[in-house]
Amino acid sequence: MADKIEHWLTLNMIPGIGATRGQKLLEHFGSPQSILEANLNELQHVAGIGEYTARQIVSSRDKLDIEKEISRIKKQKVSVVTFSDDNYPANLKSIFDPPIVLYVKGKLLPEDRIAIAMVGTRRPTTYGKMVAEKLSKELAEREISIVSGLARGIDTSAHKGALSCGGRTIAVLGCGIDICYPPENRALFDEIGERGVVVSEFPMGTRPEKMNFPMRNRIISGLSLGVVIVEAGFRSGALITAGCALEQGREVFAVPGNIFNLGTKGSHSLIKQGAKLVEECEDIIEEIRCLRDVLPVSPAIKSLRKVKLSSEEERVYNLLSFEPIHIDLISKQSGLVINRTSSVLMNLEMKGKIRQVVGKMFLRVPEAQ
Amino acid sequence: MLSIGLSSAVLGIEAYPVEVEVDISSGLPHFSTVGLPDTAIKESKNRVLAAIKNSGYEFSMKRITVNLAPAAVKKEGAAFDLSIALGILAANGQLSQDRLQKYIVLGELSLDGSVRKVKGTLPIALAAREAGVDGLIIPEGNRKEASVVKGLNVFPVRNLKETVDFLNGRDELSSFSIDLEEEFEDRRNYETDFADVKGQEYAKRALEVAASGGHNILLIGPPGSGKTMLAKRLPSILPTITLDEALETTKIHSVIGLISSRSAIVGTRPFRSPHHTISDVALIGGGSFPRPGEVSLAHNGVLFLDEFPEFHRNVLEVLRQPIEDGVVTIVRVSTALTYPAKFMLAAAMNPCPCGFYGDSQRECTCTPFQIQKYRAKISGPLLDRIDMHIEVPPVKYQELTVDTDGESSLTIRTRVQRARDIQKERFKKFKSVYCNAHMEAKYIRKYCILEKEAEKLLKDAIERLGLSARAYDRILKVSRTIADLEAKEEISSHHIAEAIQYRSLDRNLWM
Repeated sequence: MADKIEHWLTLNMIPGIGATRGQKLLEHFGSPQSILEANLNELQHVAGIGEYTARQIVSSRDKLDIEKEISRIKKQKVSVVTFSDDNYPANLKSIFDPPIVLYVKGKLLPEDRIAIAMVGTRRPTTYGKMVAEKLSKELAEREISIVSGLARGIDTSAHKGALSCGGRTIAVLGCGIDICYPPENRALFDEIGERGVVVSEFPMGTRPEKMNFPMRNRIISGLSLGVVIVEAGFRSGALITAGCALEQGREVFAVPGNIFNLGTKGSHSLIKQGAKLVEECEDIIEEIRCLRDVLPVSPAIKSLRKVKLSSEEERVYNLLSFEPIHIDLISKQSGLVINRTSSVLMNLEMKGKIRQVVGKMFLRVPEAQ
Repeated sequence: MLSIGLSSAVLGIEAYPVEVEVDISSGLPHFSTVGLPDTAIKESKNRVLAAIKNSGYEFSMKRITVNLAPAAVKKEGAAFDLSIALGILAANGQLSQDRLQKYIVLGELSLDGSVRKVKGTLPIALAAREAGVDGLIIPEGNRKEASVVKGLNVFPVRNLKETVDFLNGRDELSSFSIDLEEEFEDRRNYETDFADVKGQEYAKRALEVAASGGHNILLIGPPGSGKTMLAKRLPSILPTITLDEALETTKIHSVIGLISSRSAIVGTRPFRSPHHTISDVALIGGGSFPRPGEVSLAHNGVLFLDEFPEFHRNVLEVLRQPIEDGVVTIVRVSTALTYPAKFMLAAAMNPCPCGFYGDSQRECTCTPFQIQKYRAKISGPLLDRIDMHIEVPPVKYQELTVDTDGESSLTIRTRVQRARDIQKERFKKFKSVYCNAHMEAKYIRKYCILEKEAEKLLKDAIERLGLSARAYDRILKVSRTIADLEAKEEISSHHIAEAIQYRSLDRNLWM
C-alpha cells in the first residue's frame, strides 16, 4: 500500500499532468504504477496526451524527489487520500475533473457529503461578514458541513461561524497544505485542522499562485451540494466558484446586498440569472432534497436565547438597527448621558443582543431562528 | 597678573559653581582655555577679544590662559563669555578684583559687547542663593527666570560696559525682582479649551476619566478625526498645577533654554508632542553633555506621541522605564544623573497604515496582515502601561451630533479635581502613588472592591469578549476612577461596563 501512495503522489506532481489528463491516463492504464512504468510510445497513444506531455512524463517521473515529499507529509501530520480510496469524498468523485490526490489535515468523514459551500469577497462589509457568520452558524447547527476557501473576508467569516457553534467546516486551499495563506489566518487554520478538515490537491510547498485559486474553487463547489455567494464584486473569484457549481450540477444561492455597494454587483447578477435568493438558512435547506431531513435546532436552545432587558437597555436597543451607528449618536438620540450609554451598550453586548464594530459603532445582532 | 571670577554651570538639573581663572603673562601672543571646554567655549576667545575691543577698552594681546575649575568636569556653551571677558579685564588691571569675586556671572557675548541670553538660569540662581554670594549677574533676557528665586539679588545687564562699570562701582544697578505669585497667577490660563470641541462626547468623557485617574491613554482614529485636537486640551482638564510642580517643571525647561524672556515660570501643565522621527536620546534624555529629553520636559504634564506605531521601536521601548518610575536615570562613567519625568502619556494612532479601516466613507486599502503588523509595532509590555484605548470617530459622526456647545475645561477640571482629592486621601500613606493609575497589583485587590453583580459582569466579559488577562487589572483601575468620579465607595456593574468600553484594542473587532 505504501509504495502505491508514492505512485499517486508522483503522478500528481508531474508537471503538465492535472486532474483532467490524470483521469484520462488512469482510465487507460488502470493504476498510477502502470502509468509510471509505461514507455513513451504507449503514453503518446492515450487520447488527450500528446507527444509533448508524454515526453514530460518520461523525463520528469524519475527526477521527482518523492522521498522528500513523503517525509514532509509525515512531519506535518498530513494524510493523503487518493482517488481510489474509499474515503475519497463522494461528492468530489462525481465531478468532471476530480483531483487525483488530496492532502488532508484532520479527518474526512462520510457525513461531509452533506455540505454547503459559502464564498465571497475578500473585502466584505460588516453586513457581509454578519450574514456569512449567521448563515454558516445556522447551517452548521443543523449538522451541515461548511466548505470554504480560508481566504480573507467572507471565507473567514463562514469558517468562524461554523466553528462558533461546534459545527464542522472544510477549508480548501490554493497552496500546499504546509503553507498558511493568508498568514493572519494561522489560528483559524489550526483550529479547522483540529475540529474540521483542511484539504488541498497541491503538493507540499506549493506557493499560493494566482492560477491555483480557480482550480481550488472547483474543489470547493465539488465537495458541496450547493454554493452560497455572500457579497461578490463583478469580477470576484466567488463567481468562478459559482460557475464551477453550475458545471458540476450544484445549486447556486446568492445573498442580496446594498445596491449602492459595488461589492454586491456579482451576487446580484447571479440572482438575475436565476440563482436562488437567500434570506435565511431555510431558503437553502428547502432547495436541496437531502438536506430536508436534517433536524432543525431543538427548541431548548432557542429558549436560552431569550434574555430580559432593562428599560434603559430596551430604549437603546430600539434605537439600533442593522446599520452600525456611533455611540455619540446613540447617546444623543436616547437622551442618556454618555457614560450611561456606554455601560448600557456593554450590557447589551454581553447579552448578545448587539455587537460592536470598529470605530465605536454598534448594531443589532439578527435574531436567530 | 591673575584674576579669579565666579560662574556656574548645570549638570543634570542642578547647578555647580565654576571658578573662572585668567592669567595674563608676557610672552608670545597666545590664548588658551583649559578645563575640558567644548568648541563653543574654545571659540569664546574670539568673541571675548572683539567684545573687549568694541566696548572701548585698551587691550594688547599677551599670553592668556583661562582655566575653568573644577578642571575635570566637561563644560559646554557660551555662558562663560562674560565671565572670561571680566577676568581678562581684571587680570589686566582695568577692573576691581574684590567685587568680581562676590558675584556669579553668566552671559554670552556678542562681538559688539552686548550680552545675550543663556540656558539654565533657574538652577544656577537656586545654587547662587545656596552659595551665599552678593548677587547674580545675568543677561537681561534671563532676568525674570532668575528672579523666581527669592532672597537672591539679581542684576540684569545689557552689555559688557555696563557690567564693568557696575563692578568698578562707577554705576549702580538696581536688583530686579518680581511678584512670583502674581506672575504665576497670570500664566495659568490655557490657550485651548474643551468648549471648542463640538460633539465627540464619548472621547471627551474618556479623557475626563483618564485625567481623573492619571491613566495613560491611546486614541485611535482615522486622519483628521481630531485626535490631536483632543489631546492638546488634555492638560487643561488636569488638576491645576501647584507652585511647587511649576517650579520643578520650570527648572527643567530652563536647562534647555525654553523659558522665554517675557516669562518667569511655567504656569500651565506642559504639553509636549515630539515628532515620530525623534531619537531615543532626544526622547528620554542623555547625550555626551547630558540634557533632559522630551519625557522630562513633559514633567507634571502631558507627553503626546502622535502616529504612535511610527516611532522607532527602540524609542518606544525606552519609554517604559520613565512611565513606570516617573524618573529617568542617565548613567555615565563619572556620574549618574536623574531627571524627573512624571507625565501622563497620550498616544494617537490610525486604525491601520492607510488610516481608513472601519471608515464608512473611505475604503481601507490595507490587508489584515498589514494591519496586524502595524498594530504589533506597539509591544505588549508597552501596551500594558496604557490603561485606556479609545476610538475617535471620523468627522461625519461629529457633524451629526453638533448642536450644543461643549462643556468648558473649567467645569470638567472641577470634577477631575474632586476625583483626584478622593484618590489623594486614599493614597496619603504612600509616597509615590497619588492617583489610581499608579496603583500596584496588591493595592488593586485592596481598593477596587466590586459589588457582586459587577464581579459577575467582569468575569463574563473576559470570557465572552475575549479580553486578555492583562486587561483585567486595567479595567479594575479605570472602573475605580469612574466610581471616584461619582464619589462611590464600591464599584458597581455600570462602572465596570463603562471601563470595558475603554479597552478597544483588547477586543477582536479588528480582524
